[in-house]
Amino acid sequence: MGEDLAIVNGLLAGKPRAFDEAYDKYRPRIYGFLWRLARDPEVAMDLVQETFISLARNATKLESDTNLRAWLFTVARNAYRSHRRWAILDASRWAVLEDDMPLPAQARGPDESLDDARSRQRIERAVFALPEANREVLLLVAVEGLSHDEAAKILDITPEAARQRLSRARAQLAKLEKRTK
Amino acid sequence: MKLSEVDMKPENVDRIRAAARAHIGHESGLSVWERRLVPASALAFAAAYLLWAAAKADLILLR
Repeated sequence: MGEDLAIVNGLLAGKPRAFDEAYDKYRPRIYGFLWRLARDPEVAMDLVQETFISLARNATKLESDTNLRAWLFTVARNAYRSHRRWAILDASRWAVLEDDMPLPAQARGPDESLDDARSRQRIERAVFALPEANREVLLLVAVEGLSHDEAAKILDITPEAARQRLSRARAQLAKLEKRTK
Repeated sequence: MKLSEVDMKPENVDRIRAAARAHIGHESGLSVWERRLVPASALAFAAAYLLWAAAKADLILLR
């Protein structure tokens, strides 16, 4: 968090290096979040660009105590919602649990067994199949480690509603994961 | 909950960084220093004008 405050101060001073630090630190996380929300790597890439253009444009207008992580996820989520409003719904894209559904990289980590990799893939598929409202709260809290309060602010709902959605998401996830075994 | 780490291809990482970086300081079309200079110049001009107007009206003696 202290590191983020230093980045924010750098941004306020108009230092391009601070922008690079923010980009390197949060780009993969914002991309992963948008990838799993949009279920389309190309769309996710465009929205990452939109998010960081917004950061560049607003760099000197941030508050000195801005929570950079929450700020970026809020902008990313709004960019996604705005994109979705205009996107033409292609029903075939939303078919869930299909074998050919593109998933994030399936490479195994150095210490990961084949079973672990398969289990992770099952979870990925189950996350993809969650309803969007539940998927986004799960990605923010369970994957990105944001607090319920932070997630609630980003999603523009009450912390209690965020808790309820998260609990529903976890239950649905468990069911979906079993089904894909 | 741990999911796969995902990222874009390096060439896309660099392309998006360059595209976004080009917008730094673009919110008013001026850099940070330029934005500071504009009010400073306006203030200096106003002070000079007041001095000139006061001298012209014989309120102060500049020589």
